[in-house]
Amino acid sequence: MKKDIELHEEFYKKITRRKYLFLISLTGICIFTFIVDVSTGPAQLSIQEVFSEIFMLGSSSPTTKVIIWTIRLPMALMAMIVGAALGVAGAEMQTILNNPLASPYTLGVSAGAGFGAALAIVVGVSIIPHHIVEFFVPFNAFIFAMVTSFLIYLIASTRGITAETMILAGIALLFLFNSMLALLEYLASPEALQAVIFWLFGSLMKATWLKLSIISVCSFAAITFLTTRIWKLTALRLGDERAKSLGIDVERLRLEVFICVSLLTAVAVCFVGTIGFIGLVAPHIARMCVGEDQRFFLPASLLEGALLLSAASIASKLVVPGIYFPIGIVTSLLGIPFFLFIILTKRRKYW
Amino acid sequence: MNLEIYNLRFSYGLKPVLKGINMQPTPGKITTIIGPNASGKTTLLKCISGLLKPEGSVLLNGKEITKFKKEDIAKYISYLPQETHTEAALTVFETVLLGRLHSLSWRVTANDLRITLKMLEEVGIGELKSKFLNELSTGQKQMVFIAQALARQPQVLLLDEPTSSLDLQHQLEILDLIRGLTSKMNIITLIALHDLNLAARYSDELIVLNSGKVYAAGTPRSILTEEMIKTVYRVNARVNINNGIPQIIPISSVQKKAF
Repeated sequence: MKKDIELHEEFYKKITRRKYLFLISLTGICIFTFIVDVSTGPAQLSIQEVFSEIFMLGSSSPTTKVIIWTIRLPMALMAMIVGAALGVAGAEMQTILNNPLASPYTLGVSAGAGFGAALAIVVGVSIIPHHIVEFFVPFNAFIFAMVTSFLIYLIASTRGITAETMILAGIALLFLFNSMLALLEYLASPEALQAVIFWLFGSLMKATWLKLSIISVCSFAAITFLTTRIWKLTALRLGDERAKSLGIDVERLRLEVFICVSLLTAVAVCFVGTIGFIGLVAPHIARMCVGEDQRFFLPASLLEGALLLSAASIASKLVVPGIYFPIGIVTSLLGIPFFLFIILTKRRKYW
Repeated sequence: MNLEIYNLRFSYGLKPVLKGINMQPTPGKITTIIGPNASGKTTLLKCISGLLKPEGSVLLNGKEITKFKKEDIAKYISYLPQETHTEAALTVFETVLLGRLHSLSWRVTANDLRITLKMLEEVGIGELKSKFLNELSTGQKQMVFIAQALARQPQVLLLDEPTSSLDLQHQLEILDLIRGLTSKMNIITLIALHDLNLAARYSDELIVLNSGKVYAAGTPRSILTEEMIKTVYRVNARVNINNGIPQIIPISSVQKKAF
């Protein structure tokens, strides 16, 4: 009998060890792309220079210091954190909507943000005064993203918060905000129109330490909350009926997680614009590698998201040397063939 | 643990499904609910499990089930729903482990691990533990969810059609296992079944539901009569008693006119 128990523990240890190893190596790869990301740009730095500057190991030239601390590091960190937030948001959106096509943008949260940003740019109407111009556009984007989430909740709650009602409400709002955005673009002056379109492309250029800390705090809070629901989220994948029979208040869980996902998406989108695709792909890759035990699925989606956006950030600086190509375009153009390759070459069906 | 049900009523919208059910199932015994389609078997189990909010009383140790928190109900009652579609990328082991949901934290305890793996062996799916759910046949999936329900170590076990996708051998094995656990752990076990011969063989008590009411209740021998089958199921059947167990041989539907 005693031997049996040891055998069982051995079996469990073996499978978890493999998953932990995967997470650790993924973290390693993330750190590597991060360093490469910092070193890449119009003024190419060497990896050693970056390394010694970040860890304060040696003295580098003042120019290098400025480049690294005021431009490269905020951008590279922004890529990591936004990627991580979108990866987690996508993973949990797919979980609560029970749908592989879901992403942080499925329910129109980003369309709401886009409309809010455009409104701020075009009309100059916002709830806050003009003197904080730098935060004027993102703040409005954030507000509209949260308004969208609240509307989805209101519409869905009239008929019970199920995956279907949320998707229907979300798609309706997606089209509503897209058409209102189109209307704004139609009415806008050419200069404002250009600014709106550039915002929608998505860009890491405006990263600052202050923005970074706002995103970090919000993401940290939302992700910490999600980790307290980790087993319930795993159980939700068995379907509402079975989750309920396991004692889970499914509607409440869905609502709580939806609020977290909205927050993650809204803070990410409002500072960098709509960077598509990360939130869709990162969870798919994570699922293939570790399955849907959320203790591993959530961190794996987080790391995959960070890795993908960091890699896209490097690519965006290499497409046209000397120029920062809008990262939203790069993620989709480079990412989609890669995504299809992964999906089509894997034999097992995951959905 | 004891379970009492008094004057239980439930409607979906305006359509009444349960019209006043009374029952006090005995711990350590298997009580089987039989009845034609849409007679209210599933609804009854859902009301007892706290998934639906009925009128009347479901008392668990003398306390109204609606007064319990959802997590607390799950500690005592394990409800196995009918087959539902799942495409989760979870392994058999992870799925059965979820039966321990009420006691799981980030680090899985040795106790939860031991119960899960023991249940995998007892249900006879130990070999499948590393397989993904979507690699299994319907019958295998059903066994996984039975193992999940049992891994809860419940004091009330509610099973809705647990054998619907199982082959003959597995039907007998699973019901033998459930009978063994029921008497060993003194569990209150309620099973909704369509197969009258299985019901006859494994039930200590039978409850016949017909249009939301208890038509009859008692031992299989006293309940499973040609008369009952004709009125409730609208089927002409012959009932033979073999070793004290009734055997039902269906002959024809009552509705069908003889030409």
